[in-house]
Amino acid sequence: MFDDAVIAAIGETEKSRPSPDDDQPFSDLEEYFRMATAETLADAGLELSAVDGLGVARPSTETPYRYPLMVADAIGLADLEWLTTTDHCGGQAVPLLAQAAMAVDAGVAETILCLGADVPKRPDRGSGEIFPRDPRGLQREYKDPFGVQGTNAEVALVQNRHAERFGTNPEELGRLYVAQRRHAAANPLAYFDEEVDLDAYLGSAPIADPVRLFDCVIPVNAGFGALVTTPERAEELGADPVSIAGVGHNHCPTVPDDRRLTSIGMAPAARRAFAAAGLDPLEADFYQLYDDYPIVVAIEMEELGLYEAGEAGRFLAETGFGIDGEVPLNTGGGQLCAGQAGVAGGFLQLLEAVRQLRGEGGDRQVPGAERGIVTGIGGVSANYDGVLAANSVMVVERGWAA
Amino acid sequence: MSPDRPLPDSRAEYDEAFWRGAAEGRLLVQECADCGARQLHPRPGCRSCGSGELGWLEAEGVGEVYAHTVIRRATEHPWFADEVPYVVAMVELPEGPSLWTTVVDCPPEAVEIGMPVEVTFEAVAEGIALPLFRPR
Repeated sequence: MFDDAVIAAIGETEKSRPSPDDDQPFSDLEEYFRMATAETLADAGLELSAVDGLGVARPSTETPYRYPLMVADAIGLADLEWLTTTDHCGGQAVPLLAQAAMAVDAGVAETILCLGADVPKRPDRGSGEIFPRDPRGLQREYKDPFGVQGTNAEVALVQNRHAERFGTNPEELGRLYVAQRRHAAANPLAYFDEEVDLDAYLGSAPIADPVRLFDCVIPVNAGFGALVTTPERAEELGADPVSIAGVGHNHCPTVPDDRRLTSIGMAPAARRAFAAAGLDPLEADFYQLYDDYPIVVAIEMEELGLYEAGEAGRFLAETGFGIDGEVPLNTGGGQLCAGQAGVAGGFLQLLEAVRQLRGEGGDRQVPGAERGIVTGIGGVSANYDGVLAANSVMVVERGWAA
Repeated sequence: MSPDRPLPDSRAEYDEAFWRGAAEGRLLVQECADCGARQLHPRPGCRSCGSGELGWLEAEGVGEVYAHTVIRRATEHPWFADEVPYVVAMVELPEGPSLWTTVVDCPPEAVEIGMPVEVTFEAVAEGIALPLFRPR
């Protein structure tokens, strides 16, 4: 899709969950951006001065205005030929990388660093207390006062409606979680390092019926980076490049009345990405799908075209989601099991895709991975009479075809 | 320090009428003067045609549960910690739009999809009332 841009390097920090009872390492937000930068540049074998463009995924934690400039200053970047930001909530890694690829492809800048970081937890405050509310609008005025407990409650209604409409049950959804926990156990950068079985999933604490504790992501602090540059520059660096074969978006989508709450409106984004890449979605080698909840992953898989509407139960019960299965899913553990770094969470999916295509998946490597799908979802999946969401789908491919 | 109750207390000009109506015991939905489409939550423009000519229609005050949950843990808004278990529901109005609300005056486990409900207003602060629902 982009004739003159590739992903040449990636960086990802370890995850931590500091709390009053757990003395885990804690760093300020800008320090996560700096660490992610150092990891990414080390992967590329580049000096900071070689970076001439910066893209910053806006964190959920309160930040001053002109924040991308502050990040550039904090990490020591100067004389940038291109600077941008995304503000798409959790799914913004895909649109940020797409923006960077467009800028490199157009010749606006040559070597663009894309960063995402968030500190949803501080030693003295949990994630729910850190995320600031909207100053006004849907969440602040029309959900919170009624006791809607953020996305956990919203997705509970999604799962409730999906069960009513399609019969989807927790035993089926739990298979997604169990597979991802196994992948996390094989990922040194994942928060969880032990597998669990279906009984542990089913027995996890009720949060908002039918949503359980293991339906919810594990909030962590982390930083992520990805470097987009020209194929020529990537070759000079001796990088193992990954190309973007297709990308599609569908923001603030509409869905049919009879699919309210059971559709997120990702299908048009998927069609655009697959058409650009010439990919049959069933033929991808892996699926790094934005996983704020298993039910959301199940809906995404329908909208990507992996099964027909109404077949969710059979599909979830019969498909293999491990690295040797038909649908290798979130091979690094995903946000459910590797951890969700606030609204930088979607970077996890993108960076794991790059690792798989470079053959760096270790014990969780999908053999012979050549092409894979990455998704991002931001915003709020369930609105009053619309879907307030940012959907992104990207097809990534090993090497450089042109 | 006890947490504050989340309140709908930062009015935009385009939704002031909704909350004034609620304080007076009336449930209002936005209706487009140009195309007739109705919507909640209130917005400055019509979702169907983009018109800025939006008026207000008083709803009958009945509806059906479209989807629901029983909150077991106040993971985001700790003010509600003493309220659990309680119901959060999306209620669909015969006028068209739906709203996020709660169902009160019955055990949480009794709520189900399709349940007929009617509006009841709870005053939560000076001049502020929330449209809640109870079994009909």
